[in-house]
Amino acid sequence: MSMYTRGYKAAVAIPPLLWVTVFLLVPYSILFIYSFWSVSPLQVIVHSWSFDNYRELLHNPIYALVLFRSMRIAGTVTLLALALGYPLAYYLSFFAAKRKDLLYQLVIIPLWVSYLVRGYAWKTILGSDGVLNGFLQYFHFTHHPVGFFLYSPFAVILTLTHIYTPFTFLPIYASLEHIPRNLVEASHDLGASPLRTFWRVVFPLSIPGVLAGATFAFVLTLGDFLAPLLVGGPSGIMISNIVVSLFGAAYNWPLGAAISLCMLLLVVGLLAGVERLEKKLSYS
Amino acid sequence: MTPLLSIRSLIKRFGEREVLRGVSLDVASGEFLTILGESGSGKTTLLRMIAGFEQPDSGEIWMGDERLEGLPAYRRPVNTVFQSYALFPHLSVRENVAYGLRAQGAPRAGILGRVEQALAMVKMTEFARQAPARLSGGQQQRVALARALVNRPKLLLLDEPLSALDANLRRQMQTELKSLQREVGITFLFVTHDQDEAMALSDRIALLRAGGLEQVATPREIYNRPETAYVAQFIGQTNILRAEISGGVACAGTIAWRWGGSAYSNGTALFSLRPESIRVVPPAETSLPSEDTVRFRARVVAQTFGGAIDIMEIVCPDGQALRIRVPAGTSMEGEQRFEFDLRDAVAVRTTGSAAPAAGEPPDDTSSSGTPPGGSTSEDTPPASEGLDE
Repeated sequence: MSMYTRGYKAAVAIPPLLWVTVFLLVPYSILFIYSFWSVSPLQVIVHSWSFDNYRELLHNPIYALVLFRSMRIAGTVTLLALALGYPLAYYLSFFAAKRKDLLYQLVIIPLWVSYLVRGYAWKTILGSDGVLNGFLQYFHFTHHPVGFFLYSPFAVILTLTHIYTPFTFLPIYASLEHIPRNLVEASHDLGASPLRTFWRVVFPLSIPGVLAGATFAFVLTLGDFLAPLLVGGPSGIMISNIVVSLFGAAYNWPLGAAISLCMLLLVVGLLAGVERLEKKLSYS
Repeated sequence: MTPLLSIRSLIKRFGEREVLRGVSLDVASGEFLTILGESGSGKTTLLRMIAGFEQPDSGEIWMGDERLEGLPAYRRPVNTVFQSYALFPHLSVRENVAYGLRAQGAPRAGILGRVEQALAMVKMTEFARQAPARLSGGQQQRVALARALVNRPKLLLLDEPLSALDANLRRQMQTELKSLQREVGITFLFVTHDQDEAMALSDRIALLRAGGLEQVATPREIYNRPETAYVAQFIGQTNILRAEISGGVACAGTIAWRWGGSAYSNGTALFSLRPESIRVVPPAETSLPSEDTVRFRARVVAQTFGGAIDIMEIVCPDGQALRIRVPAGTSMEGEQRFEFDLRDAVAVRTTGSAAPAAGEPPDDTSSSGTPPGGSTSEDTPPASEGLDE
């Protein structure tokens, strides 16, 4: 691109660099510094340097417990979102024919609806006097409202799966659309049944999309704090809820910063791993 | 002998458009048969129906005593070489070739040997572990061939397999393809739009035009004895003469010759006269021509350099333009004498309204007398393509 002057190239580069600096590098640096500070008994942040916050994270089992719960929920949601998103994408890409555009829009439309609205919708559905309990009582499956639907890990998983399935659907659909159809024909031509063709040709070639979708679902779920807040109850608390409370009511910014940085490292490591895997598995 | 493949009255519509209009074709075992046609003639659709990627609206496809139309592609005893090769990008060359044998559950022990043998046959052994994306077009083509041939199908379908290659490689692959076919003895059904390729490779050519078969014959026969004006013009270059026939004489403007063909006793008929059939009569030549030689006068209007052979355009006194071939370096001007052997003027049917040759008035011969060839052309729509090249 030698036809562009250095001035032009600099002009193009400055806005994103500025953005990254102001909104990413500076805040993370501040977090990093905070994570080595502490809070005095008088609720004042003391600028004394120590690894106490990180030590606390290692020694107090509550953090590991909530982190593992968060990862378990994120993993479950990811698997469910893939289990829902993949067949949907496969059907749309290969068999929907004329209904393709309509169905695609139907999958996308929920993304235009506010997260909060969808969260509250589940609250209305799952609550004691909610739609689900009303339905069950009307048909006499039960005589009393079932309490465990709402305010449980189950409710969190359900809500998050609903919200993040389109995020798995989209990259999978894109990767399926990229598979040349003559490869499928070639497979049939060579005597492979539809099922064998799916496992030997279609699925392997869609793995990059699956990885991208799984990453979206896992990372976004892992950092989610609204769904647990709305439908989770005490047993549905996730790691981000702890961060929120540490920065809020508990007023322990240094500890909150330490958790945030650990989470950041976890996610960055995950993304790097997925990217390497994806490079290994794409063939163009 | 019963044919290996028998196609009977195959009809295929895409919406309103009828892309195949009752095609019937027999393919003999061990034959190299080419389906030749311009784009949109339905040749690829025909191939795809044999492979099982499309279902016919009516008609039958028989292979031996097995009826194919109902069968899904993966149960048919045919294999295809695709136009764009369609190699699996996530599998190595060796795995690509082994794909068919694995899918059919061939004994594991035998697979490796057969794959190596197939790769050796197309000279790709050293590339066995490579990914297809790292191969050139010609190499991918060889792998695609090996992948199909390793299954030892009774019939191999080839959908314009050479069209993506450049001219030199293409000629080389043509030669290899032909010798490969002799070597393995598998029946090849080859689709192309390239008439030179068809002529070079085929035992027989089936010329498809707008969804109907125009003529099925050996390359020599189809070139020397084209049945229709379209065939004559599609295969090689030709001059189409419109002649009035009466009393055993055919008369095309100022050119007249003795005509004893029974099909056209009286009325108008079209004749194909190849450019190389017309010779220049040297000005010094004074002897009378033999009784089978037709002489006429025409004016030289243009000469196009063509390497060993030049194309010369000449115009008869009545305005009829003809193209002839002369050795390069021939230099002539003004009015000259020309001659041809009357057996080289081949009567052809019009089949509907084939686009007329240069200098021909666009009308229908069957309106002015005897229907040509005993077969009128109710099954061919008007063609609007340029058919001259």
